[in-house]
Amino acid sequence: MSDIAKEAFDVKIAGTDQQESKTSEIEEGDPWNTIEDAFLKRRSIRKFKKKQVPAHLIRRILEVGRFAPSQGNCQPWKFVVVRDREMITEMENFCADMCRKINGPLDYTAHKKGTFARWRSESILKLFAKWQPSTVHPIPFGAVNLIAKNRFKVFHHPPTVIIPLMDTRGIGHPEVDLGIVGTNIIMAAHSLGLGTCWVGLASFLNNSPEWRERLGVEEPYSLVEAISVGYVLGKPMQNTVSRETHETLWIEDGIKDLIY
Amino acid sequence: MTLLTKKEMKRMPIVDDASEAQFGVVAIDLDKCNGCKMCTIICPGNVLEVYGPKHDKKARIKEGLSLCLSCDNCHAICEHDAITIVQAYDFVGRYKQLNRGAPSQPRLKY
Repeated sequence: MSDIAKEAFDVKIAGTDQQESKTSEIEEGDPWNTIEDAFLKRRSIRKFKKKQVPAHLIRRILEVGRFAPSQGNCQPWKFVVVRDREMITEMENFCADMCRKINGPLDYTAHKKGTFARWRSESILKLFAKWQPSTVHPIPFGAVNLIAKNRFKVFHHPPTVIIPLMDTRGIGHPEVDLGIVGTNIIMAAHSLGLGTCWVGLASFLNNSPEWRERLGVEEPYSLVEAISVGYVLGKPMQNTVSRETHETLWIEDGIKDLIY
Repeated sequence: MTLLTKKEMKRMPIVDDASEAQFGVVAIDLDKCNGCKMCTIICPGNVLEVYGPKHDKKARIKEGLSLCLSCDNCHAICEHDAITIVQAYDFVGRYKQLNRGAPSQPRLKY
């Protein structure tokens, strides 16, 4: 190793040491740091200002997304950015129509208990559940119901929609990598004062030949989720929220313990 | 550690039956609430509504089927700290919540 290279290496090592000592200085109960606080205060935003987000900010957050970890560094994504208001409204209308079509035969809550219509809807739902159990979880079922009744939106009228398409040939579990790249994107957006919301119901677009063509979704790509991006209306991130604690199995020194 | 039986895995809860589907529950401090409607605007489950006698309109849970997903967004937006979730959603059968404790704010020490 040349002297210059050795010196540079020593400097690097010293830098690492510094970082480590900084970590060990943190004591139990110390306040959250800036990054932790950003993660704790981020909320999904469903009310956006009409103002468009500058294009350079969207490119900036996509650039942060590009450096997300992925299995085998396969980077199984391709971004589609839609900043056309009319097109976003058309996407909204298409997905809402799909919700109405699905909700019609499945919504047993619209019928009184004991009636034939109720029994029929419940039976169709049970058949549907055998095919796709996760989609008829009561929460998305309720969301589809609200959208069908015009009491909720799919995309929430954002000025920009980012669609991370998934390369289905990705290594291992490309869905996970897509989630990670999405997390990079939403946290970068959050750090710039932008609001984001994951839109799972956007996957209806993936099954429509017309929309696949309009959004450039071709084999081997698949549209799994979309992310609405825009300026936040009001102050929906003033406080942190409560979430349930989760059971954690803690294994140390040959002893298994459960903590919450 | 709780697990599901095979029978439970196949069972779909009926959402408008209180014994099968327990949606989230929020507690509203009516003394602190000033009826600003921010929580009703933000609520993704369309659960809250501001109503009551004249000059005393407060946020309340709508009557009928509640679809509260215990996201606590209403607490995050509330300037007066008047609302928070007290119970998360839970269902019988396939979607039963497993291995969860009570809702809690971010904890620096536990």
